[in-house]
Amino acid sequence: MSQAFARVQPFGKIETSRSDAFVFYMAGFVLLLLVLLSIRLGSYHLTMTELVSGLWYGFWQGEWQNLPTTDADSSGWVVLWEFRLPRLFCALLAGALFALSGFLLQGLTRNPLADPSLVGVSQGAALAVVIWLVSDLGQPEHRQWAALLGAFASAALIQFLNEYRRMPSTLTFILLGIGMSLFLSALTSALLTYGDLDRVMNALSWLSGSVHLTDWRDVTTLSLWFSVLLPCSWVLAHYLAVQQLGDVMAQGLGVPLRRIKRLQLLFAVSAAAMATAVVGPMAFIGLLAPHVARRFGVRLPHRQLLLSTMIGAVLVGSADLLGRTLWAPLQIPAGVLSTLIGAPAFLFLLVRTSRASSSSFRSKA
Amino acid sequence: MMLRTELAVQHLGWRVSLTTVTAMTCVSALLLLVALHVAFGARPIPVADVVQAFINFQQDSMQHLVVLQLRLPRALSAALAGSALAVAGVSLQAVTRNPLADPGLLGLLSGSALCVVLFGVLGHSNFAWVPVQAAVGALFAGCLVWWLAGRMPGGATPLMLTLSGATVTALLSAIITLLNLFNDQSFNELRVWLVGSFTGQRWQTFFWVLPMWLLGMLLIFPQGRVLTILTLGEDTAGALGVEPRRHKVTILVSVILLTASAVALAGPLGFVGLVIPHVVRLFTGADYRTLLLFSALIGAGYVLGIDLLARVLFAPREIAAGLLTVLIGAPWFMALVLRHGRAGAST
Repeated sequence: MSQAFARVQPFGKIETSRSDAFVFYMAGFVLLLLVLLSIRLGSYHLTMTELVSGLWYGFWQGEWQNLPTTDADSSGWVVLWEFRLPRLFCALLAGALFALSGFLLQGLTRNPLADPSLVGVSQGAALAVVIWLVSDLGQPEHRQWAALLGAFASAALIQFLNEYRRMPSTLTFILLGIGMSLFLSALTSALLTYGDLDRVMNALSWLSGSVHLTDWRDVTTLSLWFSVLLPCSWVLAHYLAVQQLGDVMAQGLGVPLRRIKRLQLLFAVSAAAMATAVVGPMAFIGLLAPHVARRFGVRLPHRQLLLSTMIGAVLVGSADLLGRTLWAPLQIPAGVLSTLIGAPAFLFLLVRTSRASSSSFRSKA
Repeated sequence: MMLRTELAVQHLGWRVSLTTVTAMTCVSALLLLVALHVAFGARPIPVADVVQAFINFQQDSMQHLVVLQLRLPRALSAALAGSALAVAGVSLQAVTRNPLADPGLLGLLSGSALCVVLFGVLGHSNFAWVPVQAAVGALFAGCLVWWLAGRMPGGATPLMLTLSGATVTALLSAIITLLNLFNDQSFNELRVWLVGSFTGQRWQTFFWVLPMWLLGMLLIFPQGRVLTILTLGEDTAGALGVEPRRHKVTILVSVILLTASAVALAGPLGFVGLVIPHVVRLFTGADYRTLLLFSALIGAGYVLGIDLLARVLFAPREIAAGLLTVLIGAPWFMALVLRHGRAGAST
């Protein structure tokens, strides 16, 4: 893991390799391909003309809200603008946010296994949202604030427990996170047994990590948060190269470490909370995307961040696409599918890294 | 010389008798819990009547029928599942030399749940086979987790075992969700069972599971001495004349059997196998012969109490016992992590 950062010279000249650009082009190409496929495929068959004209009207004439209803094409347009596009954007943005959160958490804790759902942050957000939905505290649309609150509460609790005994090791951090997430999920299930049935069903479909209930309002929320969080994290990611050398070294080189770390945690937790609030808890995306990004040989942390968000978007987008097309009338929640793909990939990564750099693992553990 | 031997015998005798006395106390407490468990319910039955039902059963008494046909199987199932999980947890902790081992954390519970669901979807939901299906699933998941952890950096350390156990559990639960999506009927049948609950236990279930439980217990109890030695490490065990590999097979087989019998009765009950051994260690010390015995007794009492609590807490409604065990067990697990953090990090 650390060898990815090892060759970065923090305050020297950093050579740009041509392969970075190639990797980004490839990622962009895959993302574009995924967007096209997701628009095209589905249980309602869109013809090419419907697609092009629908997109044309919507994007360039800004008339997607009052499409001609008498037209024969109109049902295709409705499918496109009311179902496929918001769903696609939600999946992509949520994936990007999970990846961003995972990347920041991994850099911040210098722990290659950190992930918002492994650490309990996602479960905290989920618990808060379920409380919000089941006990009818307010509008379901405002659940993002509940998610934010829950995520921060659980993050603070884990941080407190971790520092309580003054042993900030990988082992305790991960194990505490596992215990925490099990506890919070049990609480959530207990709540679900007691809530009002209608509201519980509402919460249940959200809990399995599904994208199919999203609309344009969710897209607006996610894109607003994403457009704030990405530039901030981009700036903060520059410090990660130095942070990777260790706290003492980073402080010696003039990094205001406490403040930086706090900000990184803030952004990581709010990204996970927002993504969870819209699509439900989704495991392994935040863990996997940064690993894949590093594996492509990108070394600069801020570029890794960008690439991770792209990969996260691709992962969730393709999980959603597969989930709704593979067994066509049946919808597999993207959260289930991402776990099915993510868990084996994670195990594979763990086993592979053992051969490459088992020493770095052991020194941190 | 004479004096010293006498002292030793006296000392030994005192110790044995203390163990016996404690065991007897535990057994009577267990019986009391069973009686309480049976007495409480939708219609409370006086404890005196419960006792009467055993001593002087009357065919025409509704209360006696309720006690013997509805409530007693549930109580006994809870006791059986609790003792099985606690003993499985103790044995796993000894074999993996890992204070954080537990059938749930190591993926065994979700493995058996998946196997049972899978057979249910395929249409083989005959109850007689559920314990066997659960055993096959537990075996598969256990081997998978063990193999994965062994291939990870640093070998099968507590961190790697727990991590691969958690990942495998996530994977298997996702597969269970997927299977349930495809098959509504199986989901409706197994929904309550999948969270871990004793609702609607019958004698039939109990008697199908009993042989498996007995076999597991008979296999594990003679291994107490070996378990103690195994905690010292394989090299030391070899030097003391214990062949680790052969004994490990026996122990793992009995762990699988016990886990499967618990799952067949109640579904996955997390953290029972983690909490109980640590509680028992507080007063027995590290000798696995006594540890096994008391884990079985106190584990049975614990799950009985949990099930009682699950029925009492929100009185007309029942909360799943599996949720309660996790709600109690997970903070315990976190406390253990905080306490053993340093020791675990060095291994």
